Amino acid sequence: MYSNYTFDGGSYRHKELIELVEDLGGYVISKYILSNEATITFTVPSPDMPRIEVLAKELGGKIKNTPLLGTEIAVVTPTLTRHHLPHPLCDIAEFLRRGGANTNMIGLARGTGRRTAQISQRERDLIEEHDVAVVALGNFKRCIDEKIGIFLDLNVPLVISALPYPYEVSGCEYVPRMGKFPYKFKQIGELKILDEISSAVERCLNHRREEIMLDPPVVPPFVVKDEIEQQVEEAKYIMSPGGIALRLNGLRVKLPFDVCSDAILQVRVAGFTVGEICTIERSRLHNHILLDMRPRSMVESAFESTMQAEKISVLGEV
Amino acid sequence: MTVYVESEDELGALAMKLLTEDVITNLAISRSVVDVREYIDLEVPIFYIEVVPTKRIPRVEVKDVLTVKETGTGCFDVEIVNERYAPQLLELMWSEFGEDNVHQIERNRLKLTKINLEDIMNLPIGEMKKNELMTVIRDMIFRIVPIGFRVIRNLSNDDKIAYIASENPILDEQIQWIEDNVLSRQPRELSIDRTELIPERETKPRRIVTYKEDII
Repeated sequence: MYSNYTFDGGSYRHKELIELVEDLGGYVISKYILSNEATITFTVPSPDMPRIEVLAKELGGKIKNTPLLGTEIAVVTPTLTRHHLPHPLCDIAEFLRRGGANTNMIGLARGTGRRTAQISQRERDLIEEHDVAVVALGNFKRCIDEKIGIFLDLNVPLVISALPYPYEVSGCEYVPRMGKFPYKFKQIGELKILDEISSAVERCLNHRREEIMLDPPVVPPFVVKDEIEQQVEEAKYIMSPGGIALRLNGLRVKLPFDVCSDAILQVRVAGFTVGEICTIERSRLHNHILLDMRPRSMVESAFESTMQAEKISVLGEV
Repeated sequence: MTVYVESEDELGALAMKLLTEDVITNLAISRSVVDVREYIDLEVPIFYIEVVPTKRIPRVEVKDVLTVKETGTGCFDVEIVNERYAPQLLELMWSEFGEDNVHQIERNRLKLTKINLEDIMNLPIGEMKKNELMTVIRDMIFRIVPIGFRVIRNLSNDDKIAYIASENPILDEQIQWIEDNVLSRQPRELSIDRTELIPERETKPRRIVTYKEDII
């Protein structure tokens, strides 16, 4: 079982850490070197972690557990206006990023009002591309009662935050006391609310991880990421930050779908091609490439049936 | 300045009060506003806001803002002393005297032609400060009014700036009901305060260090 961590420390001798991670069978997910500072996120088998900790101590750096690493989370707000957006949403997104997640902030085009609030099919598809959606609603219980309906039927694990308490919603995680406040959270009592949101997201992800582990993919997504980076020439020149973003059960490759999808399907991973172990889709976000890992049973049955078909054709020729 | 917010949902009303206070602080008009009163009816839904501005707004005189020097018959060199009003003044002069007669030579220097001195001294700039404040107050109101409430009616008069907003059509009966049942009485204070919104910090007992220990 792999666990995710972040190393914060000096850039001097950071290559030793990377080498050790790779020797232990782990993967470096991202590496940011800013002058003398290095921030490296990586995943390693859990039993080998003490060895990394020893090296990190020797290098004078800190190791932080980042449970949300390798996930993509949508932070959804009714609109992108100042009435809904700046402070609480940025706080939520920042706290999720501290946990290692990639966050995308999504404002609905017609999410304002109580009776008039709407969500379009395109927005729905866009939110459902993510692993978890965090929806930040407002202050009044009565308004939330009516407005919450447009989000509840999203086909994605949902965390809803709003001010009213006590308040119960079925079918999602609800975090109270997080209303439409006009300031950034600073006090310890306030930061606790953000921690609650982060742990609610973690619970949703763990639930999803358990589902995936019932029939896991052939290789974890970060292995596919590593191979794409090595085998696809265009992947080396992606200008977007975090060129290949990890999702819980797949990847988002920030390359144009029409140009690069064929090259990515041909990448070889553990004896298979990406086309065999993943389904490929066009993202609603900037035409990116979305890869979803197929479960192991599906890949193996497909492999066996092709082998049988090959055998039959060979026998026919004989 | 006092902010009153009334609603059946007190928690939401308290959050709205914080929002209002913060917007007023951000726009730096807390000394120019006497009272703010909001009423939120969640059934309809309807949002009413009224702001009473201060009456002590000084009038602006031309001599405070401009220094005028006559350079020929009907020609004047005008210097804008208080640059705060420069954009409004220039716009006003262009509309009063025509763009051909008002030339901006430098950032705060103008050259006027074919104009009488009296015309310059009689420029209607007395209400400029008041108008500026009213604009800021309106900006404040539209930062507070819920963004989805697009149906807005202006109920302002000489004493106050008041707006009513809803996402449904606003009926005269609804306005009358608010006037009769809400505005006719004194505003009510909220029964909860800020500690209800944010959970209190758990404080650990502090160890008191004696003077001697501190030295050691």
